[in-house]
Amino acid sequence: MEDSNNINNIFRDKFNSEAIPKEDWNTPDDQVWSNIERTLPKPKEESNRSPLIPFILSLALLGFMFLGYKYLQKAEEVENLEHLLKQCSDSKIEANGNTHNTNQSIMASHQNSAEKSEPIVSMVNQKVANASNSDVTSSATFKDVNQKSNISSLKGEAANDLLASATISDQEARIAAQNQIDDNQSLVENHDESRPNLKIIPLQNLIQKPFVNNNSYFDLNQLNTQLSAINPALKNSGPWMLGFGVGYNQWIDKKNGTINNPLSELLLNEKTTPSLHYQVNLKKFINRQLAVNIGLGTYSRNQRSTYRLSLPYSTSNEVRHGDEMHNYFQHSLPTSLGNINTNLTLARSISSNVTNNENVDLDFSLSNKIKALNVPITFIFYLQNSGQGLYFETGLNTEFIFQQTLTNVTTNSYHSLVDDREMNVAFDRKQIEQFNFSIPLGIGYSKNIGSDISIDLSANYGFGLNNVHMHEGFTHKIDRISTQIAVFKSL
Amino acid sequence: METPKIKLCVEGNRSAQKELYDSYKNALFVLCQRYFSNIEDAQDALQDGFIKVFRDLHQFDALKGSIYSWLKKVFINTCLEKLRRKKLEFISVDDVQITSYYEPDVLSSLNLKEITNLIQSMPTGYRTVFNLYIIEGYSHLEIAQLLGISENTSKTQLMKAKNFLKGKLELVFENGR
Repeated sequence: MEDSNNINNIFRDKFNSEAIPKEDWNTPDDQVWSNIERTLPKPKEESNRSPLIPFILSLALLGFMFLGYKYLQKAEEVENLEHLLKQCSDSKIEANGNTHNTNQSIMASHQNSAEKSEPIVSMVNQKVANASNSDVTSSATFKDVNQKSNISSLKGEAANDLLASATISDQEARIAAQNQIDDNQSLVENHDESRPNLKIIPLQNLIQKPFVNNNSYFDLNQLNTQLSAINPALKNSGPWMLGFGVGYNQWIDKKNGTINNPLSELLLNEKTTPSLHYQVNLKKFINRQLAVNIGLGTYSRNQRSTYRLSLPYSTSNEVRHGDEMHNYFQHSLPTSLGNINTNLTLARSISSNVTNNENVDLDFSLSNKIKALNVPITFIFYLQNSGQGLYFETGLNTEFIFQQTLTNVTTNSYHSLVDDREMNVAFDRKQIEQFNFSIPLGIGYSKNIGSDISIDLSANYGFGLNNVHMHEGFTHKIDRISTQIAVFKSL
Repeated sequence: METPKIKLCVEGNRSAQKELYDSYKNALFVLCQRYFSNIEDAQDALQDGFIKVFRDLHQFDALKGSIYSWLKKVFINTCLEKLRRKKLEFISVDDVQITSYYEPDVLSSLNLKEITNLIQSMPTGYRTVFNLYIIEGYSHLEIAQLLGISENTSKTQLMKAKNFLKGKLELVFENGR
């Protein structure tokens, strides 16, 4: 007996030593490591899926969009100037011709009444002086209009004064015009000797319509309407707006390609449930028609996958556990968490009559939940030149996944004698892309509801740009339909 | 192998994984050879075992034992799984002649390769029970549960394995090794 134990110990000692000398007979082929390496996930340092690349591309895209916008803005400015120059050039002809005569005759016909209305004249003159002091653009002379790029840029106090002036009666205005012409005549003559002798039209005449010619005139009633339609945030020289939004997301899984796993064909159902998102937005108006919106939001995404597995229950591979016989199965299943590894234990009672390789059908379901932060950077194009109303939006949405978990793993055997005893699931978090990018295309409507506060309703479709998990030969992109309501306050 | 290196392996660092493989490939290849009569099956088992190791390495708990003990468990299970797939058969033994075991001195004089070859020459059933009981230290009850056989079958397979070895050893020494 003692000898037997000694012999057993000799065997144990010889084989249980960790430090077995390397010899030819106990060294496996190099091919073994190559085969092992092929099955391992690609190491991080060898991966070219760095999130830096999409980031750089996104930045480049934004850069191009910005440059494009600047170019368009410049072109628009040039066009406005050209238009204005043309208008002025037409007006100059008119000023030396019909309009001049018209003005002269109007002024002549009202000369007497002007002398009699001294108090009213001084009041109007005071208004004109105020308007001139507050903004060069609102100066009463035609010459000054010529120097400024666009009368429609009248804003703030100057615009209000101008509009207030418009309410003064026709007669009062014309009386004031007489005086202004006298005052400004010398100014024009001294200003540029080379220019044709230009008649000065006072502010009050600018207010009346038509004041330049029949083809081109400024309608101040129209201007007034336009000004009232402009987003108050813009009128009050505060183009930054801060907002908070709540939205509803519908997720669309888009899968392409094949997975080298026969079990993938057994996917019964996969559904990503809708979820809410909460977002803080910072909107910057570049002009009345264009704004940039930068947001920071958070949401979660839940996906449930159900597989129908049909496994051959082998009675020859069973292992006894008390009164039960167990059979073990290992699988690798492609999910939105990447390839997951499953260890399934099927059990039957020792006394049950199950034949070898009898098929056991069972449903296997698992839910995974991701939590993400998203940073949308979008350009908003308002259809009206007012910073509100209907708009289109597009840009780039960056999603950062900061948590992913398996929330629920269940199995349900349909075999009357074989039960699903245990299912363990393991997955490699590195398989999941932490940064996902999408391009949202959307439409929205913005409405002022009070001073400096507006409500935005919007809906967009986000086209997923990248694969959400790593898997060769298979793509899984997630598109997003999002609707949002947001309240903005100008800063 | 130190814990930080194991952590690197779990994180998918390829050079750390290669280091782990190189450190234990010889010892674990010998283990696999003990369970299979041919080298191809042993290499397959080694490959499958390491794939499982790299997949499940995050489950290894250094507080519960050494990495080598954990690796051995994984590889023993891999070998048994592979044997089950090959329909492991146990020769029924009703009339086992329990004879004396061989001399310790004789056994000590053999090197590792010779002993491994001896074990490999056994029929699969003998070899499996012999490995599990004599070298791995499992009890007959545990072997019965692992292999889905009765405790008595495990005992008789072991006796048969010992007799088989004795005969082989005698043959080896008669032929002058």
